[in-house]
Amino acid sequence: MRARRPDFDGFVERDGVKVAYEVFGEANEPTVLLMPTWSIVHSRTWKAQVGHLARRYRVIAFDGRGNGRSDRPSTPDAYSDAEFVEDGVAVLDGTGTDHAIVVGLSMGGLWTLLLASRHPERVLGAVVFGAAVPHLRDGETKPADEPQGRPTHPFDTELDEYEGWAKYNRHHWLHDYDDFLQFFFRQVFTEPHSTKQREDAVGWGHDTDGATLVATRDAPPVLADRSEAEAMCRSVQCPLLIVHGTDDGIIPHSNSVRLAELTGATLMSVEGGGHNQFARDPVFANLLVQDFVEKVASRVRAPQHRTWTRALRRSKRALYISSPIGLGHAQRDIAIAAELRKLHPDLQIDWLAQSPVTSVLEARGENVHAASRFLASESAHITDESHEHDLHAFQAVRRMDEILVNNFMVFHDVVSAEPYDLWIGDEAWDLDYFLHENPELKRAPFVWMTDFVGWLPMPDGGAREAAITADYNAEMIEHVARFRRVRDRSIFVGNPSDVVADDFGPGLGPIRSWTEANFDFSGYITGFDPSDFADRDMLRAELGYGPDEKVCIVTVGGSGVGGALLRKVIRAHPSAAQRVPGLRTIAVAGPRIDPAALDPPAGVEIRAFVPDLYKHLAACDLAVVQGGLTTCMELTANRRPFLYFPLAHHFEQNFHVRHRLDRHGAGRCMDFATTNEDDIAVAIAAELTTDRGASYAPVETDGAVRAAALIGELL
Amino acid sequence: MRAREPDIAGFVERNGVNVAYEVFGADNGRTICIGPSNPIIHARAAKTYAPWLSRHYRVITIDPRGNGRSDRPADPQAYGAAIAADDTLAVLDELGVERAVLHGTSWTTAALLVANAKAPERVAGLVLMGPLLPVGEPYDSPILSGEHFWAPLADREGIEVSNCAFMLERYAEYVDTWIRLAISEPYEHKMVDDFIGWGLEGTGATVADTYIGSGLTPEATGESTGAVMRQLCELVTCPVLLIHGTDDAITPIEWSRAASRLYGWDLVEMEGNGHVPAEPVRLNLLVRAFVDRVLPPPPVSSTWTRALARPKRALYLSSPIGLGHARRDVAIADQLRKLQPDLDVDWLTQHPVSALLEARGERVHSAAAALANESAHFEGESAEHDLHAFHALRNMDEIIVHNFGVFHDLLASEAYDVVIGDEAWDVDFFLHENPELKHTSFVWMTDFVGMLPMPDGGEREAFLTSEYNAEMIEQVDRFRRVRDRSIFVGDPADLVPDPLGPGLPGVREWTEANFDFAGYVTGFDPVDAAQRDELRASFGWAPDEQVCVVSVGGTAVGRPLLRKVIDSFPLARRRVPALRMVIVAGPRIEPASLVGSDPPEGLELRAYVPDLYRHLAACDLGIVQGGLTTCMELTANQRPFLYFPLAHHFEQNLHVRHRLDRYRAGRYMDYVTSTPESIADAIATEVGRAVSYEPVATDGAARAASMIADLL
Repeated sequence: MRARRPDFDGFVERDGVKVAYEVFGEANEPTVLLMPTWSIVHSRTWKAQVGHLARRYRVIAFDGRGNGRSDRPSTPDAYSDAEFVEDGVAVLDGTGTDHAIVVGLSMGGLWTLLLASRHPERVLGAVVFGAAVPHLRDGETKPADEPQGRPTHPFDTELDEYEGWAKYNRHHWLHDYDDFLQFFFRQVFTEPHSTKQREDAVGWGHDTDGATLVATRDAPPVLADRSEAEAMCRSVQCPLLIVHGTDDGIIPHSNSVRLAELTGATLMSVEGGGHNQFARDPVFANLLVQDFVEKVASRVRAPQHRTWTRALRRSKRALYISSPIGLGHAQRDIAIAAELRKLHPDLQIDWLAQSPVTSVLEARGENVHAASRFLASESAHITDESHEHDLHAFQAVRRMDEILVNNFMVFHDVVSAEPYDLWIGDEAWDLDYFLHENPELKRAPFVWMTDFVGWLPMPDGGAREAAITADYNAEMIEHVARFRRVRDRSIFVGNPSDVVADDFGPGLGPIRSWTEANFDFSGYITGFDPSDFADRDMLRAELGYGPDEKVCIVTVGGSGVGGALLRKVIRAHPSAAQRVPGLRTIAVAGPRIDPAALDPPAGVEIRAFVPDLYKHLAACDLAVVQGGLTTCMELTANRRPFLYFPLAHHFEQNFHVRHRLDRHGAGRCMDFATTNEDDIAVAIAAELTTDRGASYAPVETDGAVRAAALIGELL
Repeated sequence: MRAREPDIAGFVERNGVNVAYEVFGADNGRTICIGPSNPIIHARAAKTYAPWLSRHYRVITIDPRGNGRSDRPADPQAYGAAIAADDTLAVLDELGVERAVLHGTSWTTAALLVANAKAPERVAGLVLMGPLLPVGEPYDSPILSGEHFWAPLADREGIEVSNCAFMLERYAEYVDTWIRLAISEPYEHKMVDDFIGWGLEGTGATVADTYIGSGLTPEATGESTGAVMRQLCELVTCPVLLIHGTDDAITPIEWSRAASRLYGWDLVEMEGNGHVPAEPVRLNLLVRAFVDRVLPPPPVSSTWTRALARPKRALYLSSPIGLGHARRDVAIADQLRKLQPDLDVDWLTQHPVSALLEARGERVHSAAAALANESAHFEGESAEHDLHAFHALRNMDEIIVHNFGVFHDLLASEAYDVVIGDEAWDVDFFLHENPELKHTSFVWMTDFVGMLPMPDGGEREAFLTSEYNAEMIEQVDRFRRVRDRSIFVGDPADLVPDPLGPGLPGVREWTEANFDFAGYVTGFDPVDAAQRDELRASFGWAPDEQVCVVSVGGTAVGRPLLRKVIDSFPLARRRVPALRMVIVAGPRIEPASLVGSDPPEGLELRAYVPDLYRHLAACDLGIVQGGLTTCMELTANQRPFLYFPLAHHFEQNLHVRHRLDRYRAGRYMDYVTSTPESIADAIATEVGRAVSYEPVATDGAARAASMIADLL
């Protein structure tokens, strides 16, 4: 799912070539024009910028001709530098934009400078990252041909084999385009742990083809020689910021050193940085662009009215970021917050959270921060990533990258504007990751909480998935080792034995010992006290369940993913009812499944929504659920028998949760794909007969108190 | 001592009246001119921002007519906003400044708006703090009312003292009332004292004439003044920043809100602050952000290093006062590097500590050159064997603001993984005042806790010290996160039993609850008997000689003590014929000035000895001041010694003495009442005496380092 959708989109047409643009934040000013770069990618390359910039400015991005939604003319002439520059002007015209701050990367950096040089009245300021200005260095012809230290290979000659930069070859592009893309984006992203950025870019590369790329390469150059290039650079008069990575594998850093000399502009070097900071260091890049825009646009900006509160007058405030995925954490986070307030009665807690967590919080009278509305929905993204009883949790989180950037920037804005004494992030991946990537942005103690540690590959993901999960784990281990100060507390919601026995990956060591060394353990946190339900007879009476009824609750959480399971269990009811006299099946559809579409047989009740579902789960005789930790652990804490069906490809449910439930001896794990209605009926009957609940290893009831004590020490 | 001396101090003369100005920093095309204030204060009120700002801009301050170094013409016509506007423009002319950001507080607003009306092309921007800007309600303030101003003398309180007769007849009371009205934050006694002091340098007449000259006629009303101010505001085309305390009891914040609304000017409300916000750090940062916007700095290339590519770095701040901490800090740094071999340690510290560090091959950060010298300040505060340490710290206010600025600028441009502050008062205090400026882990180290009053300071000093302590307690309690580690260099028993003040916890109780204890850190291993013999041989001291080493540290404060001890030498030598006295004068005292060209036999004068601690370790008697480091070196080496705490030095007289008593070490001597005879007596009694002090910890540096390393 995209972090932000455009307010509107459209096309401009020049000489029969249509160029597609998108506009975000239409009501804001000034305008930031994001130039395309080489047609090997398209405007989705700005995915980590658009959400943040569009909250402040009007942002226009367009697909360069040759990729994305723009046309792909076949003649090289259509891809000259001048055409891309004039496309930019046409997009400004087409969107009614007098002038803009123009931002470009690589080839887009060159076009940005050309735009500023040729149309100075349209450019308030320019930002260029890794700008591909040709001829600035001795003996060089075209930047992409001969970066420093790169051996020269003929572009047009057919070779026997294509190794390294020899892949930069017409024939290779036409015959093994993917191989070139893979190679090229390894040179773009030289930073460690860049698998996702490379994968994205290769994917966009495949949105066009080798022949189109050859046409762009054959286009006539706009700057014939060194003197023309230098004259062009010197002619740029607007404020200019130049950014370049020291480890750029495409354009050497020295190119921008020369560019800065010629233009007299500021050069920001990124030590250890590759060719594309927008994708690899998005928080840094976003803040840098924002800072530049603020300076350039200061005379047209709205007056600012701010308050600064002197330190000793500040009330004590915590910002609680509760992960919205699956709604699971709201209950436990509220319980922790309640305990924290007991320790610090003067503490005000604001929540930065999304739907559906926000509804739970608001119903409990909690204060949801107004900026929460700017958060891109992680929950909707996860739903979007799901198929029938299938959610590849690791890939879903990985593909959530632009949402995480967007949401981190929202968080950063909140804590820059208002001082908090504490940040608590319950699986707030955005916060944890980007604070480690930008430790200088940390301004308050940070508590990291999670109930699982370690990305694990699903067996059918093969070597590739194993390598990527290991790389994710390696980056995390490196982050934590290097910047211990980022996490003032790391709380594992559970016990050491709840941590899986697996390794992080080849050579990375066992997950459990690392977690024991790097976390405190609060024990599990249910968010309720099972002793409240000790008198189950009374509870059943209150909920309208007769003493002789066998109540089976089927629930699949708040997302739309559970429909298939719900239907299968409903269909199993007649068979189960034959085996279990008095069986009463109650299927909870949740907000995203239409109850009317479920078509229940006799004996099955469908409920759209059940308030206090946890009470029903405490009172039932059996539950049928997915493999989510929260619900399974509620049932475990209440010693209820249950069948659980982990979502396919969901590593957390299949490995982490299952490991934990096994430790408690709780629940019966069922495989959705291979289980039919009769199997379910048999399992229902078996579990109701044996009632294994009494033998579950107990779930602690002091988890919230322990977590709050660990957190409270920081105040 | 001032945090920064002006580069130029001069006068412009207009119609026979000298108006004084000062210039800080060189012309870099970006100038801030702090306009003349109401003469109830003068340009020294800029002491907490001119020095820091002058690191980035040229800063001009102007004394108002009627106070400071400016003339005090008797003619009432020589005062007022229009005159002050002309004075300001004249100073800009004199210095050849074409355009500047003008900065003014309170009444100065009127003068700067007139200057803008006369020469808008000269004004790049306006920073108006607590401005007298009645462009909207309320109009009923007594300070705008001609009727109130011209009313007859009467007993008045609060803002009602803004009355001509009251100013003229009861000026001291007026100043006291007005300043306390203007500065309303708790614990700001030093600022109040400063402002009242500046007020008393002026007169009621010049303050009254300033109001009168600005149009406060008997007919003036809030509405009429407001109409004039609105006309002036409408002429402003440059960017304007309004800064206004929400608790301002003189100029209501509603005025700035109205101006912001009417003219689209930026407004920063300072929640909890008064008319003159006691927030030097925040104000400096606000002004910098504004000036950088209206007068952008030239492009400067810089580098951002990706997080995982950053080397591990610590910034070590070692207090320079008395040089005492350098050795222990180096020892701690050495231990830290053992635990974290990949750690780079940079030092932000001043002379004389920096010299010692560089001699040890440590890397002193180049930003250290910009620090205002705390050591020189302390010397400046000293009299004959007398240093009121609490007042000296208190008077260091402008220096610590400036040095915090240097620190902040450094941390804003370079990434450090930990900041270690050994009695870095500036960083500790201002991080608590501005916790949002904390970028990284911070370790606070000290060897004493609690400002204590000297008995002869009376109730006032007892009150002021308890207020300092109360503020510290409140800061630490409220912002525990500022100090990631608090390390006390010593043991709980080293803490004095005194309370931190009336109603406050005891020093010991509070410190035990809020600190970790490293034990004492000498920075060396004590010598044993064999090593001592070797040392003595290497110094040329015979086994049967009784060697007395006299040292007074690196400053000139110790000269009178040296003289007194030298005077005692002949008497002592008579009693102890084998006596050999080595006087170490230190870098600031010329040895020849202590005795004539012909010192008596047995008396040696040295300007400097390398590794003084080795001499102290080998001597038969030490004679020293009451500084902790030297006394503890002698204690650790089980040497007899006499120590003379500086008068009024609460740390030496109370904290150090308490600690030495617990080690049963040293013989306390009172400088004032000691005579050459009594000193000779003491020398004869103590020299060569076998002592058995409580042992001093030898693992302090390792313990401190492991506490710090936990953060890395």
